[in-house]
Parts: sequence; C-alpha cells; structure tokens
Amino acid sequence: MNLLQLAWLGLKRRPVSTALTVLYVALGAALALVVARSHAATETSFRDAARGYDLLLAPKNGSGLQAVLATVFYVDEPAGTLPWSVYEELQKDARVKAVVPYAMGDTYAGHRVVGTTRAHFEVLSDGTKRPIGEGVTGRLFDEQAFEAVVGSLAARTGGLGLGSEIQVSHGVRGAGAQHAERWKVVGVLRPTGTPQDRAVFIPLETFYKIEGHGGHAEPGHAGPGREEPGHAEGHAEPGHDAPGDERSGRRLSALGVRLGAPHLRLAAFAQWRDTHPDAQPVLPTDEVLRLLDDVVAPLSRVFRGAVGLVLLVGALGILVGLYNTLQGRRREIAVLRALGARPGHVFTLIVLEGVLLCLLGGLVGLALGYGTLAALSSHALAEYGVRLSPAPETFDLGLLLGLAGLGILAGAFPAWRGLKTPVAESLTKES
Amino acid sequence: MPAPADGLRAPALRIRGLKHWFADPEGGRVLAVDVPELELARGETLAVTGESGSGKTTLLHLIAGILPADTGTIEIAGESMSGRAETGRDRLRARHVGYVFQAFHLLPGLTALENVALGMTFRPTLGAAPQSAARAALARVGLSDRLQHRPGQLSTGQQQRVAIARALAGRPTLVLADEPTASLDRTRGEACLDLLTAFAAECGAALLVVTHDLAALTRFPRRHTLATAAEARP
Repeated sequence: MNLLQLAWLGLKRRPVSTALTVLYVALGAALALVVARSHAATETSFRDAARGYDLLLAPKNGSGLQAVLATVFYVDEPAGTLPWSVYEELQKDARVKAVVPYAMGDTYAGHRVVGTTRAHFEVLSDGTKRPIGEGVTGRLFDEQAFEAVVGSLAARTGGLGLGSEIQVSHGVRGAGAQHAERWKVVGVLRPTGTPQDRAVFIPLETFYKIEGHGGHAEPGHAGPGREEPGHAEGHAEPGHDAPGDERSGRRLSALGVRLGAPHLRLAAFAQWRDTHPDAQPVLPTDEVLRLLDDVVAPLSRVFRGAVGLVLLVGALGILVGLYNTLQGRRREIAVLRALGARPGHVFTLIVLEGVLLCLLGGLVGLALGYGTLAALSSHALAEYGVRLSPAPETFDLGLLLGLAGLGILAGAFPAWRGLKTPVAESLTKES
Repeated sequence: MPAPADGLRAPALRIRGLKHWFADPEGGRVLAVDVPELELARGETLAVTGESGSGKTTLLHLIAGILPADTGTIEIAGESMSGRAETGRDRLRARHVGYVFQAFHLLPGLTALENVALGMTFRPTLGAAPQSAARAALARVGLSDRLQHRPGQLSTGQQQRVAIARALAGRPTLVLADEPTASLDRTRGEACLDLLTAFAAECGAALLVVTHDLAALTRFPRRHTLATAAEARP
C-alpha cells in the first residue's frame, strides 16, 4: 500500500464530504472550461472571419476598423462609397487573385442585405476552410436575376426558405422605407459560424436596379446632395467614367481582395494607400487583432479572474474540509506515526488528499464542461456564429495541472497542522 | 544511523539509565519512567507490569521512539534510539519495531489485509512484497477467510489477531504489546497471548508485553516491575 492508495482510502471513508467537495470543484472547473472555450471560440470566429480577405479597399473617410466591422462582420455602417473604377482597376492587377465587390445599405428583418457577386461564396470560407457556398440548400443566385441567398440564421429568424420572397428596407439600421423590388430566395447557406450566417445576399446587378440605387446619377434614397454614409449608390465619377458604360457611375461600399501570395500583402497595402485618393486599403486581420487587444482582452482578463476566484473558493473549501477532519483523524495520524510514518509521510498524505479532491473535481468538471459545450454547440453556432468544440484540448490538461497545484496549496495548511498531532497523547487517549 | 556490524548479535533491546519526566500542573516535574537497566535478547519475552500510572505505556512510547527520553539510552538491535531526531526515531521504529495497541487501533476504512499491509508501508526495506507478507501473516493468525473484512465486520478477538498480524508481518526485531488482553475475556486473552508469543518466536522477534493482568503475567517467565511514579524537583 502506498500513500496514494492510503489517501484514496481516506477520501472513501468520508463519502459525503468527498462528494460535496468534488462537486464544488467540478462546477468551478466546468465553468472555467466553458468560459475559456467560449472565449477562444469567439476569438477564433473573429480571426477566421477577418482572414477571409488579405485586404479590403474601403472608403477613405472612415476608419479601418469601421470598414472591417461593416464589410466583414456586417455590424457597422460603411463610412462612404468607392468609385466603380477601383473595382475595375483591381480586376486588372496581376497581384490580385480575386476581388469581390460589396454594395450595402439595406436590411431585411434586421439582417444586412449585401449586394455582391457569386465570387463572395467561393472566396470566403468557414473555420474548416470550406467555402461558404458549398453545401448550400438550393443554389447560388443568378447574377442578373432578382434572386437571393440567405445565411442560415437570417433564414431561421426571418422565416425564409426556398421560394420565399423578400422586400428590403432602406438603411442599414432597417428604419427606412421598404423598396418595391422583390427577390426570390433560391439558396440558404449552411451554418458556417461566420457573419455570413446573419446576412442576406443579392446580386450586385440587382442592387443597382433598386429604385434610387441605379448606376447613374440618381441614387434614390441617397441622391446627390443628400448622400447617406455607407449607402452605395450611383453617381457619376468624373474622370473615371467611360461614356456610355452605365456601370462607371456606380459606387461600392467596399472591395474584398485576395492576393496571389501572402507576401504581396504589405507591398499592395503601401501602394494602394499612396495611390488611391478615394479608397484606403485595410488589413482586416490587423484591425481585428487591435479590436481583440483593446476590447476583448480586458474582458477576457475579467472572466479569467472570475473563474480563478471560483476555483480559489473551491480550494478554500478543500482546505476547510481537510482542516475540519483533522480533529477526528488524530488517532489515525497517531497510529500511522506509531507504525513508522515520518512527518513527511503524514504531510504528503494530507496534501495528496487535497490533490485527489481537486483532480477528481477537475475530471468531473471537464466531463460536465464537455457535456455543456456539446449541448450548447448547435445553439451557439446557429445564434452567435460561434463554433464550440466539446473535444479535449491542451488547455484542459493545463486546467487539471492547475487544479492539482491548487490541491497542493489547499492541502498544505491542514497537512502542516496534522504534523502537530501529539502522537503519544492521541494513542493514549484512545486506549 | 546505520546498524553496527554486530547488529545481528546485539540484543533486541538494551536500556541504560532511562528516566523520563512529565510536567505537573504546579510547575514541577513528575518522574514518569525510571528504568536503570533492562536488556532483552532476540526471541526472548518479557512482561512489564506495574500499578496504574507507573509509566508502562510511556515506557513503550519511549522504547518505540514516539517520545524522546530525557536521560539514559535506548538501543534497538544495537542502534541507539536516544539522541536521534524525530525522523531518525521514526525510521528506526519502522525498521525494527512492531506495535500492538491495547485498543488495536485498526483503521476502520481499511480491510484486514490493508490494515496489515499498512504496517509495512513505512518500512524502508522488506524482503517480501507487503501484500503477500500481509496475507501470510493473516493466514498465520487464522484469518485467511477474513482478508477483505473491515474491522467493524470482525469480532474483538479477530480484530486483536489482525493487530498482531500487523505488528509481526514485517518481521520486526522487537514487538511491543500494550495491554494486549485488556479488551478480551480470559479465554480469548490467553489465546491472544499464545498466538503473540508463538508468532514472535517464529519471527525471531523479542516480545515485550505491558500488562497488569495477573493471569497473563504468569505466562511470562521473565518479568519487570516498574516503580510507582515518584515526584522529582525540576
């Protein structure tokens, strides 16, 4: 029999106290796991979404972050518009592998309506690198037809299915008047865990056919003299328009650019920053990293602190529990000493009990956490676009090791008190 | 502290000028144990008796190194218990001493087998594996069919036999038994002493039994009577 077996037998002798302590630690560990995994999944979701494009070209009068939030996450208003000529220019640039135009300014049932091309569904992918256009229920839209493809969440919350007809409202906040045009839903994207789940996509060509969005000087709801930030409309761009080309007067909210090779990124960024009077290049990953550092990281620290406190309280519970049992264990300790146990054995035995309680709590907590994550995963993906994984990860091992450390700390004080047990007196009193 | 080269020839126990005092409530000291000289060879048995309060149990604690002696020397198998730090006394006790408590002191959550194996957990070296030695010891005391029983599932006599097996399973040099018959009726007490003396003899261990049971005393050819505690000035 070794000390570990002896510690385990000691815990088994106090089943109720052991079970309650394990449960307490387990709840703390499960909370730690779910919070950490949710936080990591959210960060991953942000980063994955931002990785869709090497660069964005956005209106010059907004910030880079605003451009990313508006174009990648569909949560902010575009800061202005770009001339169509920039799109044409990038299509001819040898460094550019793909360029996807975006025109935004309307909503459907609170979901951003995005005018784009089919390239959008081929260039962007989800966290598993699978293009978002794959696995679509139905099909992608015809670029010349009044057809729509909707994200999974937008379809569910908007009650949309194949064959549904939609009318969009003016303005990215959805407070404007409803447009007369109607689009027929021909495709529903699979849940991707990306912002695409929340959006409604229409062909770019049809965006400009909305009354007031036309390729010419009369944009309708944001016409000349009352331009609305972020609402891509058409008004002629002197010096860029090819006479007779109705597209040349169009405006875009942003362009997503995929380059031929990653190393071109910084050079292209620098060149476009210096050469485009109306557009600014934006590095989405940099903007998201800055956002994560400035906003998410402090919140994360608060969460981690809260979880740490929960675990610390669990460790205190173990400390108090072990300490309270000492009085009733004086004879046991004295007998062990009489049988030859040295003070170090007694100390180790009690610390091992603390470690076992923490590890047991940790294992039960991980199981609870995995169960919770599995139960929440489909809901989190559908509602928040966050892909929660219930599979074990390296973090979990770290959590167990951390708990073992807490167990050592929690057991140390009772163990030290246990050393003070007067052996002869305890043996005699029981005799 | 290593055993001397002639450790095997050294007596199991040798005491010289042993005195130990307890503090009394009035600030004085009470002489609890006074043993000028005592020697016990390997395989030999000795009964120690004395009136209540004569320091019988304290003497066992001193011999086992549970308490440090104030003056005098105690040697076990030629190794001095006196002057050692607590950890050193623990090691010597683990190596050479088996202990049978009056109230058995079996751990209630452990089976008979685990209780006996526990007695060998802290021994630095042991020829046989603790589990097999524990099984053999329990077989020797007639409890082969009670290996997995917990103390609460055993009779008083069976518990005492488990305690004897625990003390002797590790083949100690010296077995200390504190009032081993006090919790047993006369018949069981005699059976217990028979078992204890026979098992100790088989192991070649010296046996020192503390008792105030007159019937038990008659079974030991060699006896030592402790003086009643005497007061001494600090």
